[in-house]
Amino acid sequence: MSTTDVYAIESPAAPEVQRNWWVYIVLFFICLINFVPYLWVVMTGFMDRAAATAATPTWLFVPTFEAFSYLIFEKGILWNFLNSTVVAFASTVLSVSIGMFCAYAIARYDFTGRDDVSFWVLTNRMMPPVAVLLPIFITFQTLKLLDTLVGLIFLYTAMQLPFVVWMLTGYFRDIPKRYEESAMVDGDTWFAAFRKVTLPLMMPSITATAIFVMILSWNEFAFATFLTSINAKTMPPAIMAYSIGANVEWNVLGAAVVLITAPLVLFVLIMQRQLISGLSQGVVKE
Amino acid sequence: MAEVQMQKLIKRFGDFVAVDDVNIDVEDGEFVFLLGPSGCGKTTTLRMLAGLEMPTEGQISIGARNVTYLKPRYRNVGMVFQDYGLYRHMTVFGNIAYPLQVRRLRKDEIARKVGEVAETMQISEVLTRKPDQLSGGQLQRVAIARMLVRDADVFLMDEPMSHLDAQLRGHMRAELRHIQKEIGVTTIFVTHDQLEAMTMADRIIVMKDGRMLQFATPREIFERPRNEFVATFVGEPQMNVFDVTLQKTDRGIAAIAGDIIVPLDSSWVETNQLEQHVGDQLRLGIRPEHIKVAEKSDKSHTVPAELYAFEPTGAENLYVMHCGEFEVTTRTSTSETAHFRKDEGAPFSLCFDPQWIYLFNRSTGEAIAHASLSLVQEGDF
Amino acid sequence: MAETIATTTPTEKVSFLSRFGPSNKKVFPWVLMAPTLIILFAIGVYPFLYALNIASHNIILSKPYLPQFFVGLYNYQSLIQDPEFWHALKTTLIFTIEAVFIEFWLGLGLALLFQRSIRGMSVVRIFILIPMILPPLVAALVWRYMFFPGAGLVTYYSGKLGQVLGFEPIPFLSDPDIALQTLVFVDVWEWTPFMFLMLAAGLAQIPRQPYEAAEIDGASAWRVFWTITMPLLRPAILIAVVIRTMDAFRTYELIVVMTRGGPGNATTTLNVLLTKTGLEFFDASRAAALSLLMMMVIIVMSFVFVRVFRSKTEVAE
Repeated sequence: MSTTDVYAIESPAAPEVQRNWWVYIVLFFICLINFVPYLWVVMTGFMDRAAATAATPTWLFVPTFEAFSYLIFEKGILWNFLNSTVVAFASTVLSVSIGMFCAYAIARYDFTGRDDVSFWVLTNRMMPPVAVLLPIFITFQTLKLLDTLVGLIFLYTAMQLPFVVWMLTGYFRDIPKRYEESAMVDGDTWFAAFRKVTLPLMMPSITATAIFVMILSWNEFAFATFLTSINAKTMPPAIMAYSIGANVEWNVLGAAVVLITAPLVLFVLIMQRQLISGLSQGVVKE
Repeated sequence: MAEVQMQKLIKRFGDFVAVDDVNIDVEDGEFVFLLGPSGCGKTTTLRMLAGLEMPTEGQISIGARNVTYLKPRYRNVGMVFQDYGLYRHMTVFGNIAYPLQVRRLRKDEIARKVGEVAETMQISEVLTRKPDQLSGGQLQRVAIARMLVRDADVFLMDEPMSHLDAQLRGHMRAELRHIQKEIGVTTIFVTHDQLEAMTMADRIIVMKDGRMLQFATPREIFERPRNEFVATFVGEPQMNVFDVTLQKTDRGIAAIAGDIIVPLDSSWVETNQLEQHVGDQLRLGIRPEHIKVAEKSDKSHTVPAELYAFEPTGAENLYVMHCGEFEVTTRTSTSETAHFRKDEGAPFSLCFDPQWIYLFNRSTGEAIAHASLSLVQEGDF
Repeated sequence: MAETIATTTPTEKVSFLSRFGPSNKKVFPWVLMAPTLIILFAIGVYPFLYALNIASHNIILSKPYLPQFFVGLYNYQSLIQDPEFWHALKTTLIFTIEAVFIEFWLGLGLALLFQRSIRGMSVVRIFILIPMILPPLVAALVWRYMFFPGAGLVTYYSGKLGQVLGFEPIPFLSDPDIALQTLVFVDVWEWTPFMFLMLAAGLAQIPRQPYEAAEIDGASAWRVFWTITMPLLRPAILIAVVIRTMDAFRTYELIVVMTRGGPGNATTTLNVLLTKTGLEFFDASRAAALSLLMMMVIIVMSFVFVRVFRSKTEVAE
């Protein structure tokens, strides 16, 4: 665009307003696509057996809790629910609190082998779970950790550490050093400065990371299936049982899906603002 | 090259009025300053001129062109931001070349122009570096270079010196003024630093709370301030202002503050018809450099005062004195007052030069009478 | 009080532990990282070594009576010569690259859309995030249900549409070529929200002033996007794409639940092949070798990716 063109352009009579109507349409369709499949399965959970296994999709039906009571009372699925909660919560707390320090070290200190260490930490996330299944199975068997919550918690913590470190390193780097330094000059020990200054600033990102980890732990399937049988079985393997076989009971499956996803959806709904603000931490630059 | 006109410019953010009825006429080639405290609306006004904000009401023209609601890209203005707004992923060369690349100039043209501007701003050696490798002063020069490289009609600068240290600032002030005069492009500069405005501007617009207080040359603003705010905003140290009442004494009308009597020049009193204000409560203003200090009272030094603080600044001595209930700062050359006492509470006698006294309305702050020695013609906006 | 412990005068009475304290800049970072590294070592290194070990032997778990002897690199060799391996590798690469590519551009588009001010943003956001919150297993089940021959929502309605428009019902999961695309679709459905989140966060971190400067310099919106937004977004892109690529490469539940690697081996990715080898044929050695090869590929890919990107992103994050 040469200068002469610019001069030919007249000022509009009023400021240009962004027209967003098409955005709403696009977003509507996206929400539709994202939600309907899930909604459909959830609805199926409230159907009775006949409606669920019908040959054509039925939209109108009489809701019933038949499938739910089957799962809860006959199959004791609440026990799995409890296991999932404990494991997810514990592994999240552990992995975030341990990984946080590691991320801090990588972000703040410049030591030999720093880039290699951080890359190595990341590579731990690259192992396909199926590959390490056997050795871990044998290890757990030897240590009598099979089918225990403790074993699962330990494993999950280890699994999530690379992710925690990877995510938090970036955010730690965004905090200027002088905040901690001024606290330390005021007479605090390193740990006190960390607790009083750095942590509060990092809280949004830490929360966001914790939310991610919680979701990942809750949803983990491969290891949960192979390392637990009765006592420590979590939700994902529990509901897998209802999806195989020739005559799948879709309503039971639907109910199981509801049970496994509802807590997460609610959780994210409540925490979504923390999630977003934690991910965009560092917007305000000094 | 263009004149800039803003007429009845208003900007509202919801209920908050950021810019209230601003009317400015800038001539082609002028170096005009928007001066005022934080939040006075000067930056918003500049941004409206740039097209980064849209006015709620009013009109803006550049040259003869109405640009009121035009997008920034079509206005042909150049701008330097407070934080420089450099493209940190590009080299210095890339930054300066960007506006030329947008206009699809040929590569050799671009290289030539960038080279020229880099010479002018003395940054030729850092052309290949990236912004994070430069010092604050260099960053500023790059930002200015990027603005200069185009043939913009108007240059806009938003507090570009706020991140520089004092020494560099002094140097850049002279340099910027020199460049502006040489290139001759209309430039509008926003600052809260009155020294910058006073030393560089052709004309200054003083703003407060969104309103224009005065639009005049630096000298006029300094010697004939429209109101108390303008009077105290420019000048370092600040003009002394305190409450007085006009009363008739045996020697004519004087300004009384408690026990202190400040004699006023009788012809000045007459010219400004100050008899009308006898009995009124007013504010008296006098600049520190116009207060003379003596150790003993005499015919001219009639106001008793006590030393509160002493500030030697090298070439001058600043005395903060307590006169009765109010405080004044005086400014005298070091050689004159070197022998004076410096301890707190030491008694002095002051003379308020009657030819440099200002009177302001206590409630509105409007100037009622300018000092008799202020020589500037009434050429206010 | 900040502990000023001398690290060079052993005669001073200092507590042993404080020698490794915060003031020791060389050692302290390692102290902080120790718990993480230990745990990762235990969980990461041991199985790795074990797998290495098994891979060099001849262990078939369902036939424990077979003599287990050292076979060196035989397993690797046999894998590399196995056309199934190469087919699985190709399938995996196609799946990964397609899925990540689509997810990236969709996620970017969404993130850009969200830069505008839209009413009800937080509600819409939840809906966008739902697929990501679901366990991958559940997402796979949901879509298996949707594509179920006959009664699934998609198959039913597309069949009806086909009756009207006159084309055959689409064999979403039973045609070898279409099945892989269907899987890509489901993966995109599930993980675009992740890209969206990461890219939206990255966008929010870009300061406003370069945009304004570019506008004043005369750049159009399109130009601003390519010359300013994208370069400054590189760090976020890097993280998001690397993580997603690694995960897409290892996709498991989705494929196993929806197609079991079929029809035939059309959707058998490396991971699925691994599962079959290890858990159906119980050829532990071969499985171990395969998993190591897989890991190698992932590491190389990530390494290359990170290096290439880092060199282009010299901007301090």
